[in-house]
Amino acid sequence: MVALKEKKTLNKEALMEIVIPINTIQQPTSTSPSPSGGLIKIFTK
Amino acid sequence: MPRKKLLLVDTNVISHALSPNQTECYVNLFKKLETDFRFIVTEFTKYELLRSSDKEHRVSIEKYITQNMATVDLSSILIGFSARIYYLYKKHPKLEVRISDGDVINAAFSIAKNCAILTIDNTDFPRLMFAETDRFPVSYTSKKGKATNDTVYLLTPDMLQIKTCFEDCEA
Repeated sequence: MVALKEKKTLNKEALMEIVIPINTIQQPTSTSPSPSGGLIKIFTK
Repeated sequence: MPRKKLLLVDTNVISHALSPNQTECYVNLFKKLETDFRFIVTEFTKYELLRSSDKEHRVSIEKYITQNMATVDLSSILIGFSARIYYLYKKHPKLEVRISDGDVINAAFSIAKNCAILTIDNTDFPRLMFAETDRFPVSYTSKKGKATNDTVYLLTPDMLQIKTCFEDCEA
């Protein structure tokens, strides 16, 4: 019975295991990214 | 200096921010959040923004996002996990929600990275799974000249509750 309980807990953890590989995240190209500053630039060019 | 936390920005927030009559209030909001967060969007959000823009605006929007925010590719891992979230929304008795694919993908990324979401529509992310951690009033004058007040929400995934939901549905 105890063993079953432990197994259920392990499975529960496994359900959520997901790792987003770092190489699928592209960093901003600006050396000093600023979402607020970028917004201002769009409307003042 | 501590590393800034990730903040996933929903399509609707950027869409509002890019409306000339609302830009000023979103500049102020983004300025406040930039001190603690690194902004990130999924490629699906980029697609949603670009698909309704003409060529000139497409170029400006793409440049704005690429320069100032991190972007997440629609990898097979992210799409696979998004499918599980969609299944969970459909099957769970307490999650009777009709949610767009873009918001499902955003929810999946938020859960996978345990990062906050900035959205103007908190019904896009089920309250059973996402907790409101902050809210920001945004006031501007509509295109018809009417004083308008919106609320922008900061939500974070409730990991314990989400694990329970997954277990309930074997999603």
